[in-house]
Amino acid sequence: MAKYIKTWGLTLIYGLSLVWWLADTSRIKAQLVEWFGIGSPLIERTPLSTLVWQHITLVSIATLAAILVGIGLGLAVRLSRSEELESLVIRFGALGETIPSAAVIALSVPLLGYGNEPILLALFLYAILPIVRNTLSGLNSVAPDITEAAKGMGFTEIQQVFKVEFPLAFPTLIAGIRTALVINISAATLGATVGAGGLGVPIIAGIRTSDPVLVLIGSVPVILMALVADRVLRSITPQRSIP
Amino acid sequence: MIKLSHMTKTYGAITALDDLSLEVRNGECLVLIGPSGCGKSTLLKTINRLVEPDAGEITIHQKPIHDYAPEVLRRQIGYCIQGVGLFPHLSVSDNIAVVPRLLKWDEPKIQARIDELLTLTGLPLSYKTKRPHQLSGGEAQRVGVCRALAADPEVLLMDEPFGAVDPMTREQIQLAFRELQRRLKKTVLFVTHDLEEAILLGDRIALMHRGKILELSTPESLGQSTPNETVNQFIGADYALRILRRSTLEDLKLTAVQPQTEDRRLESTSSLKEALAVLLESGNQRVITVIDHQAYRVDVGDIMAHLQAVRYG
Ligand SMILES: Nc1ncnc2c1ncn2[C@@H]1O[C@H](COP(=O)(O)OP(=O)(O)OP(=O)(O)O)[C@@H](O)[C@H]1O
Ligand SMILES: [Mg+2]
Repeated sequence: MAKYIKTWGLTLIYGLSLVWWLADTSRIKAQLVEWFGIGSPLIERTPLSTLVWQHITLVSIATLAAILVGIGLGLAVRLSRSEELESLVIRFGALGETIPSAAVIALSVPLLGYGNEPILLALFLYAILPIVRNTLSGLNSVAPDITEAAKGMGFTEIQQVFKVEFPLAFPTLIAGIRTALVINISAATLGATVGAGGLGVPIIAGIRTSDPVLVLIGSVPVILMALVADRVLRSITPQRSIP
Repeated sequence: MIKLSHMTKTYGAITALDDLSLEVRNGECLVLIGPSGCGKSTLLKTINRLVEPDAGEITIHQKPIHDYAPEVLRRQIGYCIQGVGLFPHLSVSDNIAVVPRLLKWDEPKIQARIDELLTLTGLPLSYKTKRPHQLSGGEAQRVGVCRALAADPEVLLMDEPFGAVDPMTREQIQLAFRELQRRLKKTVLFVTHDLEEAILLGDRIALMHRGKILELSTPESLGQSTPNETVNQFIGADYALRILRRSTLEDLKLTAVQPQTEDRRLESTSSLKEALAVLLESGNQRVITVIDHQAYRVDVGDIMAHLQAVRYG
């Protein structure tokens, strides 16, 4: 019970804060301008709620695609039962994560042009790595006596992966998705540098015009959304004590 | 009938199976016993093809096991794995239902079977919705036995199925299993390293050592055929006492007497081991038992005569 209050209570608080931030933007902004003593109290062309919506759309499309492709890739590698391929994928994944996301965005502009596409590609690529890695490590962490039982009962290779290993890997998989989602919610702000929508727009504009109020106006919803996503995914992770 | 001929399996420098041949007869419980690492599990797993031997052949009912696809073979063989290996994400009933579902039984039949098996192994039906981590070690092993029996296989492979249970529960499960086996007459290959268990459950005992079968005989005559140092060491000097547990007072030839009030009474279903213990501490008191409304006197001599007959006779 206490656990539910903690999870959903916090989620509710973060969610309500976000709603308040969106509903009362002009008053909050005026107040911040007063405190900081700089910045313009003017309202932007695009309302903050539209930016939030754009942001959610960008992150959702990229992450959802990454979940589908990432799990598929993880299962395919597992079904190949090739340890070389598996370690190759994991090593390649670790390498991929060291490429700065700004570089991915900048490099994809000549290919995809300005707009939402470069950031979608970058977010997709970044999300896919933790998901594939966690899918594989989840599948691998299934205890040997469980896999032996599965074989011994007469599961085929494919049934064993889908009916036993995958469900047991699920908590690890969700953890991977959570990492990917939280990273993507904040990384999506970079898209504004190459003409994408989302909450990066006020943040980048604020940085360009040295306006901390504008940066704050864009950042707070990003933080709150990341917190909500983290909480929700934690709460849907099956809590199971596996011996 | 399971017939293994000239089985060999090596792991690097270790010879787990060394040109081993063995026959498990239809309807018998053959207990495979031996020290840790002698190759018992390896032998068991060659039968359901979890281990491929380097050499040798196995037939079940005269049919080579390689005539079946591995999955098809395994679904016909009940298997209790060493260390239980229940699926942690499935409830007790879904664990038991695994093989029937693979065999595409219809759901009402599966549900009825689950209830039947839980009752058979002495687990309450309310356990159906429990998860494996909510079970005690002994309960989990019983569910493991249910899972192995679920599709009513003719052949059962059991790898230390009661290993993780405390002595009290263990004896209960053993007796329940013995009852079960007397009724169901499965062809069972049962692995243990507990001699008591082997004596209680085995129709025959195969003593295994370093990948070979040293001796194969009934529990009563184990260690009688050829003098062998390893065998003698393994069965110990008190073996005669141990096999007393296999017989009850009903197996003795007893003298009928008139019961008296001061007699010490024993159930006729008491094992000879219990009877002997009672006799040892009874002093001058007479010990009797009642079989079919007739009282009989129980004497140390009767037990000795019985032992002579079954072990040395
Ligand atoms: N997959 C494997 N790889 C390498 N060696 C193995 C493997 N499986 C078993 N062995 C070795 O083969 C020998 C026989 O193992 P096995 O599991 O059959 O023993 P066991 O008689 O069942 O022992 P226990 O009573 O401890 O379960 C052991 O020395 C073990 O170390
Ligand atoms: Mg073993």
